[in-house]
Amino acid sequence: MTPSAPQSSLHDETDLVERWVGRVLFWGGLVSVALLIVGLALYAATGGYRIHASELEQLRHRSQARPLHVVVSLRELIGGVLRRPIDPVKVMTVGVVILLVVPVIGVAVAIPAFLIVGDRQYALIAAAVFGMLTLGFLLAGGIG
Amino acid sequence: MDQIAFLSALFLTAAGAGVVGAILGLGGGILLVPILTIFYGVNMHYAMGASIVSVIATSSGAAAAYLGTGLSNIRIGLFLVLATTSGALTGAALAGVVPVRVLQLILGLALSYSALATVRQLNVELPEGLPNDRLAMRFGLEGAYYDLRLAQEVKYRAANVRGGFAAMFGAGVLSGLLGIGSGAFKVLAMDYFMRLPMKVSTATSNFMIGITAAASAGVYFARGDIHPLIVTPVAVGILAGAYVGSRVMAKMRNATVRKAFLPVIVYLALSMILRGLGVTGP
Repeated sequence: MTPSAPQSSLHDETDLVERWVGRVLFWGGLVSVALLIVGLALYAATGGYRIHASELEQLRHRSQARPLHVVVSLRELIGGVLRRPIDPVKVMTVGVVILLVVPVIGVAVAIPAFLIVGDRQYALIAAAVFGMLTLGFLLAGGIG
Repeated sequence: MDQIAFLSALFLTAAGAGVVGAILGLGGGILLVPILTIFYGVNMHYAMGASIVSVIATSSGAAAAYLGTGLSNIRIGLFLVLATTSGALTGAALAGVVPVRVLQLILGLALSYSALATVRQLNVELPEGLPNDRLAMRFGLEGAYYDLRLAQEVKYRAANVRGGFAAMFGAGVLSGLLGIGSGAFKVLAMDYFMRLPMKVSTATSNFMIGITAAASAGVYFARGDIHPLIVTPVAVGILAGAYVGSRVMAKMRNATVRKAFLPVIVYLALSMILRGLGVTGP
């Protein structure tokens, strides 16, 4: 038994925030997985396995030179995706990048959701967390 | 091993790590990194990159399922993320100033104590007789979930918020300094310090680890550690595993989850003590 019963209204209010954030995480994950699978299928279909037979070795011994498939900035990624014929590995990379930013979007969505349920305190906490996340991405310099 | 076998093996390993991670509130990095480097011979940098992606994938997969059920408490999560993230920034700033091996030793001993404390409350299903914590009421660190196993609604409120917040800040500092994941510490702080139900602790940790991992994901990406050919099967496997794991966990007893969690603390404690003593640990 817990000491004194927590206020029952709190849970209903939190519901909206949880629903919004939960949906972002769910759909973000799904879109990401769809892109990853499509990318992987295209990679296999276009004979990726034959062409990049040296890929396995590359994974084991990372050399100073950046391997063919690794992208380190958004600009480079967008350029890669727009090029034709489409590079399946770039499709996978887009899926990965979406996955990486899903939690950040989740926190961003929590800010207006908390405001709607009238919880300014937590809107502020969510905003502070969002600020630190954005700082992390900006400091990295790769995504942005 | 040809590429198809390699990718399938990665997928299956990741699916397993996803199930375990979703149940225990960890990112799965603790399982993935050694497996990738030792069994598959993957370069350490790519293994770490895969690990950070796996943490976010576990978090998205599991938290999406937990958030609707009340198991994952978004307020407690955000409140504690504030402590962890500011701790991690402090840790990064302290890097090079503090002797790492001494820290590892202290952490190892603290974890050993936590392991003993966990053993003592191993069979506790739900915490009882907790004092009302002023900070918990001030910040609304409470909630309710319907426990599928106990077939009843469980209401809970955090205790000892100050201690929990301090522990989370410390966990953040250490993860920033030592480069270790902090999922296990998050669970410990919520279960042991704040006396939340174990399932709420692991589910809320699942929500939090994605946020803390996202804070450093940009660094790994910019460094070129995220290799799409490794990360893709890992992410897909983890998401599938986390989906299954979150459903399994909802039906488990709190005490069972804690028992499953104990070996993780023991492993971490031993590994930290060994490293602190200068023995190359696992």
